[in-house]
Amino acid sequence: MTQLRRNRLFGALLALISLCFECNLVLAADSPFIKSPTLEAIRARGEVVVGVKTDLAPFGSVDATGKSVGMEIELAQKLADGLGVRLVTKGVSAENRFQRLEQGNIDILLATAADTKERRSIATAIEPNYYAESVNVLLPRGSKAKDWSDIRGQTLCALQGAYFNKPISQRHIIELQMYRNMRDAELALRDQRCAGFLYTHSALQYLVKQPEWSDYIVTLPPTLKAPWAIYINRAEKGTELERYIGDMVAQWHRDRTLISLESTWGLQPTQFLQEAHTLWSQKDAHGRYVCVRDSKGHWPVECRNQAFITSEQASGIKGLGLWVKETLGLPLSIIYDPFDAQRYFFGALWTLALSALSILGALGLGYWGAKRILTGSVVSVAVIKFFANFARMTPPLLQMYLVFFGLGGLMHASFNITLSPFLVAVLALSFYHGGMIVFSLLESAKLKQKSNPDFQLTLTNLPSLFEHAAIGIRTAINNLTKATTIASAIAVPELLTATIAIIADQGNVDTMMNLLLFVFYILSAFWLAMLFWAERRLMRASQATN
Amino acid sequence: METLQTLFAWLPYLLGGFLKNITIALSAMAIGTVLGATLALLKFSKKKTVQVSVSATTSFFRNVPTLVILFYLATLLPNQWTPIEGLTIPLTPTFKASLALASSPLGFTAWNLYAAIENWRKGDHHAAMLFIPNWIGAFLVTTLASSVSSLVGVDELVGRSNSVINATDPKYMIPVYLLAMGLFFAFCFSVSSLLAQFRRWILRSRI
Repeated sequence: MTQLRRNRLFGALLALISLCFECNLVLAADSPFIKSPTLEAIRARGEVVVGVKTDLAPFGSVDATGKSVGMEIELAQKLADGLGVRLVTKGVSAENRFQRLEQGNIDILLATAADTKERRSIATAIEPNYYAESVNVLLPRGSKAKDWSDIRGQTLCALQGAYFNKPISQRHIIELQMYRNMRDAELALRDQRCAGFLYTHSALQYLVKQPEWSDYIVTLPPTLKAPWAIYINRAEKGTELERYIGDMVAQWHRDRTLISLESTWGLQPTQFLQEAHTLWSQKDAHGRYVCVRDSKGHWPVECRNQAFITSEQASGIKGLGLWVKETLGLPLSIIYDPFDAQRYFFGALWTLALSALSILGALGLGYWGAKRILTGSVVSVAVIKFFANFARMTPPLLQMYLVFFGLGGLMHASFNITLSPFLVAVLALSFYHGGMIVFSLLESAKLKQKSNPDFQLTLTNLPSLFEHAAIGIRTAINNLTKATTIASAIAVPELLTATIAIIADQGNVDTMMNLLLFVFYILSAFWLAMLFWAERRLMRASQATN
Repeated sequence: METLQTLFAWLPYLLGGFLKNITIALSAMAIGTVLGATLALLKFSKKKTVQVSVSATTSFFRNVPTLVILFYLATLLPNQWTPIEGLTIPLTPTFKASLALASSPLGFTAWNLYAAIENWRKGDHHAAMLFIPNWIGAFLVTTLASSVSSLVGVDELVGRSNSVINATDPKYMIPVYLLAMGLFFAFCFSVSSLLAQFRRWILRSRI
C-alpha cells in the first residue's frame, strides 16, 4: 500500500514537473520571436524606410511630381499603416539594393528582388513570397525569334545586379552588355547596341503597351520563374519584424489583396498568386488555417517555398578555390566558379586592351597636338590649343556620356551607325590624357627653345624633352590606367564591371573589392614599368643616331 | 530657343550640383593634404622601417583607381558610425566620396611635399615654391575626378545632369551634357589661367 502511495506521489510529482516544463514551453511559444532593433528604431522615428524601385512600372516608378507609385509602393504603405508609422520610400537599384539594406540605409527592401540561395546568405528573406516572376526579352518588332535558341550567341542589354543574368547567359550562350540603370539600357536598345533587352517578363509586357515602346515585342516563352521576397537585414532573422511582415504577406494571400493589386496595376494574372491564395486560405476539419506558425514560429513545411533559384553550378574546377574558401574563409568565387573565372579573366583582358590602346592614343594625340601648336598657323594653333584645354579640363566620364549616349543616339537616328562602347572609352581616355600630354611636351619644348632657338619637335629629338616632360607624361599615363574603370559606366565589360557583376551574384563584397585593389595596384605598376622601358629604349635609340 | 529656356530653368539646380563637386574636391584636398603631409614628414625619419612603410603607402595611393576606392567605401563603410555610446556620426555619400577622392591628393602631397622640402633645404626656393601651383593643379584634377561620385549615387553635376535629362526629354541630352562640360571647363580654365600667372610670379620673385 505504501509502496503504491509512494508511486502515486512520485507520479504526481512527475506530472507536475512535466506540466511545469510544458507551461514553460507554452510561455516560450507565446513569444518565440526576439526583440527587433530595427522595429524599435522604426517606432521611435515614427517612420519606416522602404527601399523601392524607381524605374520599373508597374511595380515601382516615379510619377511626374516625383512621387513613388506602383504595386510595391502600395504594399509598403500597407506595411507602414499596420505599424502605425509614416512611410518613407527610398529609390534603390538592382545593383545596390542589398548593400543599402546591409548598411542600414533602408529598413525593408521591397524592390522586385527574387528569392535566391545566395541572397539568403546576405539578407533575411521574408516567407511567404509575395510574387513570382519569369524572365523575357524585349525585341524589336521585326525580330523573328520565337524561342531562346533563336537568340543564341547574340548580345542582349541587361541590368547590373539581376539574379537571372548569370543563368540566362550560361544556359542560352548569350552575351550580356551590363548597364547601371533602366535609362541607359533603354537608350542602348534604341540605338541597337544590342539585339534585345533581358528583363522581368511582366515589366516588359507592361512596357510594350506604352506608346513609346510600340515598335517592340515580347515573343519568347517566359523562363526561369522565381519567387520574389521582401527582405530585411541579415541580423533581423527571427525577430518580431520578420514575423510581422511574414504575417502581413500571409494575410495578403488569404484576403486576395495581392491578386486585386495585380489587376489594378494592369498585370496579367499569375498562376503563383492563384496557387498561393488557395494554399494560404486552406482550412482543416476544425475550420483553422493549415498554414499557421508552429510553436517555434516557423510556417509548416508544406506552406514554405523550398525551391530557390540558384545560379551556383555544381561542376567545374573547384579544388583550389573551395580549399581557399573553406580554410581561409575567402569566398574567392573567381577560382571555384568557372563562370566567374571567365568573366574576371575577360574583364582583365578588356582592361589591358583599353589601357594599351588609350595609352597609344594619348601619346599620339599629345605628340601631334604639341607639334601642330609649335609649327601651325595662328588659327590652327588657337583651335588646337582650345581643344587640348577642353580635353584636359572636362571630366572623361562626361566625355564618354556625350559621345556614347548623345552623339551615338544622333548617329544611329541619322545614319544607322552604332558606336561600340569600347571605342568610345578609348576615344575619351585618349582625348583627356592626350590634352595633358600636349601641354607637358609644349612646356619642355619651349624650355629647349630658350637655349636653342632652332629646336624642332620631331620624333628623333623627342627623347631630349624627357628630362622635363617625363614627370608630366608619367602622371598622365598613371592617371589613364586608373581611369579605365570609368568605362564601366558605358557597359565596357572591364574589371570593375566584372567585379560588380560577381558581387551582385555571390555577395562576396569584401573579397572581390580587396582583390580589385590588389589587381589594379599590380596593373598600374606594370604600365609604369612599360613606360620606363619605352623611355629607355627611345633614349638609347636617339643616342645611337646622334 | 526652347532648349535655351529649358537649360536656363534648370541652371540653378545644375549649379548647385557643381557646388557639390567643388565642396567634395576641397574636402578631399584637405583630407589628402593633411595625411599626405604627415607621410612626407615621416619620410625624413631615420628609421628604415618607417621609410619603407611610408613609400609603400604612398605608392599604394598613387596606383589604386579612385573609382575603385569609391566603390570600396560606398559598399563596405556603414552609413553611420558610433565611436562612443550616444555619439553617432552620419557617413553621407558625399563624405565617402571626399574620402575616396582624397587618395590621389594624398599620394600627390606625400610625394611632392617631400621633394619640395628637400629643394628648400638645398636652397632651391623657386623649385620648392612650385609645390603651391602644382597643388592647385591637383585640386583641378580632383574637381574633374569628383564627377565619378555620380556613379555611387551622389547628386553632383553629372548626376543632376542625368536627372534633368530624365525629367525633361532625351532631346536635351547633348545640350545638358555640353552645359555641364562648359561649367567644368570655365572653372578649370579660369583657375589655371590665374595659376600660370602665379607660377611666373614665383619664378621671377626673389625668395
